[in-house]
Amino acid sequence: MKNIKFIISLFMLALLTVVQSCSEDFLVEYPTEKQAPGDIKKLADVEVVMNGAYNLMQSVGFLNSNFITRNDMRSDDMQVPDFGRLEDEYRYDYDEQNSVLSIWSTPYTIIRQVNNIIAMLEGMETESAGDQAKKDDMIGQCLAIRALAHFSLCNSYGLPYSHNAGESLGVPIVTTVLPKDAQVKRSTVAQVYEQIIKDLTTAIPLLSEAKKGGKINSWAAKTLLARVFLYKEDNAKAYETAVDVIKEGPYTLLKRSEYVDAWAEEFNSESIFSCVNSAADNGGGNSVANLSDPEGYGQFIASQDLIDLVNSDPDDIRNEMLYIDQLSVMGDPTTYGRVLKYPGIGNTKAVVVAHFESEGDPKPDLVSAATTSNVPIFRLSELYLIAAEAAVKGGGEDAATYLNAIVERANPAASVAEADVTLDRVLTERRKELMAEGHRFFDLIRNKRDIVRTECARTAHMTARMHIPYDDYQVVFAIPLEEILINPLTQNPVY
Amino acid sequence: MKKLRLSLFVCMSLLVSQIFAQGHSVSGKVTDSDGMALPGVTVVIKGTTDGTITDYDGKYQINTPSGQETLVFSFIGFTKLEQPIEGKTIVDVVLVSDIEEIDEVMVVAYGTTKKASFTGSAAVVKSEDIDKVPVTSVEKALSGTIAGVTVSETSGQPGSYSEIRIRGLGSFAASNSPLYVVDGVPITTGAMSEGGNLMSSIPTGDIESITVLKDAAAASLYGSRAANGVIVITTKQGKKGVTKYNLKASYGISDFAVDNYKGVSGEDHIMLHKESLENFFGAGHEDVDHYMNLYEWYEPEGGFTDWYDLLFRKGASKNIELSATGGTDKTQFYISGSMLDQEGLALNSDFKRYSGRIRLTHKVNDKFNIGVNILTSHTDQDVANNGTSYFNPFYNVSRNTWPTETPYDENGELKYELVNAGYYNLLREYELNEKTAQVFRSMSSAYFEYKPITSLTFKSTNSYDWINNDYVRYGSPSSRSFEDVKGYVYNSNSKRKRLTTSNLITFDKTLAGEHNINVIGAFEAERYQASNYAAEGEGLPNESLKELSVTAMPVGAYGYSSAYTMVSYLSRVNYDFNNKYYLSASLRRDGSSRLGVNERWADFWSVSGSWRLTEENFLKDLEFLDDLKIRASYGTNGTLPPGYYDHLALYSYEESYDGKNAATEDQIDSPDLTWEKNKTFNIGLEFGLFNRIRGGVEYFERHTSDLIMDLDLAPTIGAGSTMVNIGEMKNKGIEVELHTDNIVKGNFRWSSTFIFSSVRNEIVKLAGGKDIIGSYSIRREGLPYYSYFLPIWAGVDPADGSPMWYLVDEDGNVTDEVTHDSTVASKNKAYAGSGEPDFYGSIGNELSYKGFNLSFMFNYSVGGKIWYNSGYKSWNDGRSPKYVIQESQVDRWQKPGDIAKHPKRIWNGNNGSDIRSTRFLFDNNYLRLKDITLSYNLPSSLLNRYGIDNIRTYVQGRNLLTFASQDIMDPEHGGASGYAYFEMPPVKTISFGIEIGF
Repeated sequence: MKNIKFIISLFMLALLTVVQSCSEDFLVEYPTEKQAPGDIKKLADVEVVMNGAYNLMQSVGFLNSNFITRNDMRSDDMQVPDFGRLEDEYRYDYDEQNSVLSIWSTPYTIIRQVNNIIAMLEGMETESAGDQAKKDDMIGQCLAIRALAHFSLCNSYGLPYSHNAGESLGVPIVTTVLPKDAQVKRSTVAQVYEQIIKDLTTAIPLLSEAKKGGKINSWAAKTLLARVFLYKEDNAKAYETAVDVIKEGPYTLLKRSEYVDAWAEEFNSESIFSCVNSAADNGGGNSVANLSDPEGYGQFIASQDLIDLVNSDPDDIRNEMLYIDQLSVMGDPTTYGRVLKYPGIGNTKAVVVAHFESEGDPKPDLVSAATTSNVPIFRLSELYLIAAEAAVKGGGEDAATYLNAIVERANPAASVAEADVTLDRVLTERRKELMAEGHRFFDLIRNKRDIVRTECARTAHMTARMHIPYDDYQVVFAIPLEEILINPLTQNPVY
Repeated sequence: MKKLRLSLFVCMSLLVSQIFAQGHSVSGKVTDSDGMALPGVTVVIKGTTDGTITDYDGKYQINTPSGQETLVFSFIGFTKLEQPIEGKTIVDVVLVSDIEEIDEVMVVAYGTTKKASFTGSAAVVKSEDIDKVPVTSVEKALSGTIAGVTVSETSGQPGSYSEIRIRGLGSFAASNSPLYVVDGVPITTGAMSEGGNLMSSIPTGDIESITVLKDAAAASLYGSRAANGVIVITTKQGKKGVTKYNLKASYGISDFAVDNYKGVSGEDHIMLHKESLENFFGAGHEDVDHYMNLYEWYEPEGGFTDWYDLLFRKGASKNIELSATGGTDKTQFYISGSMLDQEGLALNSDFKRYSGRIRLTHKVNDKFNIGVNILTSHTDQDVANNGTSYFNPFYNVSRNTWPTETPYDENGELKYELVNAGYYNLLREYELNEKTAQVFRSMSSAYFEYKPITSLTFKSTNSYDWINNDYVRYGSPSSRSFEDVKGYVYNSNSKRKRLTTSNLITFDKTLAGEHNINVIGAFEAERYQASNYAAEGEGLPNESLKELSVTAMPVGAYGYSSAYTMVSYLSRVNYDFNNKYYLSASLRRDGSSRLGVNERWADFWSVSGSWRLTEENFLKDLEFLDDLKIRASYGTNGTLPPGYYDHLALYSYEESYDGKNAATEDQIDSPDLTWEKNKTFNIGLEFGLFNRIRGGVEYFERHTSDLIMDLDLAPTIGAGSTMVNIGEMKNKGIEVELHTDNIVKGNFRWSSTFIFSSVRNEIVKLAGGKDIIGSYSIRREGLPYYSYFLPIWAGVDPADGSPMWYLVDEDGNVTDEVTHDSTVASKNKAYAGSGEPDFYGSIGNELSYKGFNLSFMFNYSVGGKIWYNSGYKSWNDGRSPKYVIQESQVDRWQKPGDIAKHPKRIWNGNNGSDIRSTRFLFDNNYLRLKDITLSYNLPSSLLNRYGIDNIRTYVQGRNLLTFASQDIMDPEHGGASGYAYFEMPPVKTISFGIEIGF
């Protein structure tokens, strides 16, 4: 009898398991650390996705390195000390097969992310004016980010607007969340610029004017717009927009005395928008900071041409930005020119020098790793140079005033006379001021100036092209094969 | 046993009629295949009822009319043997046990079956076979022993994973590994973090049998996980009677089976670098000396360094297993404990395993049984890095350590770093840093069985498999690798939990004496959960504190869990008529959380039948034919998507920006994602001839559709890739197994086993029919999955020592024209062969005489390519000074007219001679002495005095001899793909062991 009870209870237990398990609910599982898009419902949820867009911009595939380092490598400013990372761009050794994918794919991932956010926000009712302002500001950020992504793409894969008034092929324009089998064709450079300008002009009134540093506000969008107009050779508008930010914006130029150590700060008085890094969240080994750091990968170093140019005026404060260290690279004692723009938060020049040059053992520590450096994307100095260049090109007046703001800050004794202000003089100043920030290559080719390297190949194992005409086929990257195999876009010439 | 034989002897004596005195006297001895005397064997003159039986010593004497008759020897449990007298006066015979062949019971899906009645394709490795050739892992026990199964010992790391493929390859993105079922319960397999193989937690000594289920009839009952075959493991159970103990102990030493990526001598290193410099700058140029001095390319004071010697040692392995079994009619037990201690060849690789098992069965009453089966094991591993990590000693020694470098400075201290671009001095790093994994596993299952009537059984098995892994990385503050962060600690804990219930009803009945029916029905459910958390920190106060709590700066903390569930209903009907015709059909319905609502459920089925021709009257008279059976099966099974959530649209929250949470789109939804479907056809023939030869031939076709692929979207979409069902693949093959008793004479016996398999894999359909081209591979419709696609190397131009490659025409055919330009070559790629061999298998022999037994088995593989992954760095012809120069490079072009293997050496490289091309692809034919074992069983007459049942001692060698068509690396190193990626290469082992039963 006892046994029968036991048997019955066991059967019941088994039956219970069966009934419970049978329900379809048993077959539903979700990961614990991810969420379905349907769970993103509130404005606060969308803000987290908005941060995601900045996180993507902060990736080394884009603004935290590749877009800056690989373009500078193609110019006369920077070089590699050794084979390895960035070598291909320096040597112009890239084609359809080995073109760096992330310069193409990361901006499109960012575009999808902001298009997703715009779609989420559009269907969302707001309950207060504060919420509405937040919502507008987010849409504005999305549009400005979308413009920045398209602009970076168009400059990397399309010829400069100035070469033939934007008639050559640019990149596919993406303004919606695409279905997975969509095939978007390349638009012309002019069409891409038109979309960029449209996104920016829509964004600017929606955006907050408050200083943000790590996020895009209306001043950041205006800075980009000024740069876009300059590249488009719409000099009057470039001038007007740049001057607007200079005059109306809440930013001031750094003083000469502040200049060198300002790069060790998170933000400074002229930071408009920077990609924010920290000890916990940074680009790691392949970030521009680590690529600059001789204790890191140390692959992103100043060419002798750049060093010579800056050295030609010993009183120029920017000499202090070139840190020449005797370090053993591949066992080869080479003059190592680090541009101290990504030293790491708190690593002032004094800290860096103490760390590298102290005779003591152990040597004094750095305050933080180089990778903690923020990467400036828009800063006030560029606007002065945009205003000066646009003015030289006939877009406005007082070219010398804007140029000298930069020149005199670097060396108060070195102002340029009104008559001596030429395009080349502005470009030279631009080169010195914006070195290692990813501008030089574009500044040369959009102004139809060849890339001329005289003293670049300072290391063994390296054969580099010393002269690259501004209309060389390699001034645009090849559309990556990964795209063409799925979406048969027209490849750039020769590739 | 002796008692049993004696009683049989008495019985038989009463049954057999008296013998009459006749003309020709014949005598002899009857033994079994182990040489043991068989008493009580009936010996009858064919065609008469005249006969006798053998005595206690297996001897008989019989008188026949002429001496030209045939004697028929028969005995329960042995195959009837007919032996013509042919005028002889002494006729000794050996009877072969027929349990092995015909009535052998084998473990199959959801139960056991008689081998004779089985309609599917399966093969069994039994504990006797494992005992004969002792190995430390389940995979190694299968190596070479079963047709259609490839076991690649791709790594020589202790506790590492061996890749098993059953009948080719059925999936792109999802699993190609078989399902493992232990005592009726599917278990968690694969690698735990850092290379630990979960199967290594199960000691082989506990295994009673391993059945490999190959075709649909055998495996489809496991439904959605059966496409890659199923390995069913049954562990030992208790046997009633006096408690018996078994002790096994062994000790082994190991070394690399062959030289891998052998580097040049110090003299050649200097000579070759000097030559490349001179070829570039010109002899006598100041830069030649400059670089030679810069890189310190001269003989160090203490002589050149042999880094292999420094970074590797002889491996050692100690294994002890002790088991006890016994019990009463009602309760039986099996208890075992084991300890395995392996030292790997790499200095910092050790593996220790401690395990214990208890298996209890209890008969409550005639209708009710209960039992438990519990395994706990603990493994403790010092992990050496694998892959292209500077800390992988094998990678380092193959790539980075120059013979001109010494690890010690002038004071005899270990150097902080090496000349070669600041590469870590591994000797120093190993002393300072640690990497350990401790895995605890507990596999528990309990069952109850209820038999209301004899033909009906209900059995419920419920189990819990729990794995806990604590993984620690410690980087000393004074090590070169962690000095900059002042020390580093990473701790992680991961758990794998699997809860399963299996409830099975079996109906088994024979109707009208001829119709045997067996029906099963079952319900199963399972939930699997993996959870992990980890934390890392930097900055340690000193050398002795190694805990996270003392780190100055936290680097990160991580945690998540993921899970899947499955619900299944299954049924099978077996019917046989008069042990002659067999039919079987199965159906399983699986529902899985790994698929979207629309595609969540799927049905898998099989039908099969077999026909034992020898049971037919028209074949019964063929004396030489012991057994002949044909069988055929067709059915479906499947494979689940690789991820647990591949069908869902998800946002990831792993990242942050400016200290705030950030979410990014992680994957887009794939609502139509469904199972990979595998349709398998199998036809087989089994035969037994002359009582000497047993074998089988099989042909199979396996067609897999709806292959899951991680389909890359156009980058402009911005969504990365998505899992879709898109491809089709086909495998077909032939398998032959042959066992022969070549000589069975008295105490001497020689038998052979021959195994042959040939599998052809072919991609049938790809997304949009488009090739998927990698840096050395291609996936193309009509080609095998593992296909190489490379510029075709045309050798070295004797005129100037420059590299040459063949040009490829528009149709992809290789032309006779060559190019010297590597950029042109890199655009002239062609199909260059596959990693898949044409055929492979093994040849085994076993010789025994009295207590001695010698067995040896060669594995062979013919066809197939192996990719020298390191080639484009190590055969760089002077392009880069960084890498170790491999010995082969000495055979280089030096002057016009030289026919050389390698191009002229030039500093900075010779026209891109080292681009990936067929220069680094080799034919991979090999013959390997996989195992050789010599054992001796002490005579039982000697042992019985001390109450010992048996003592067996043995010496065993594995991988002792290797004959390969290439001498760059171990032929097994590439695995199924033929692509080796700096895993620790396979080892050869010599071990000594003893086994005592008492």
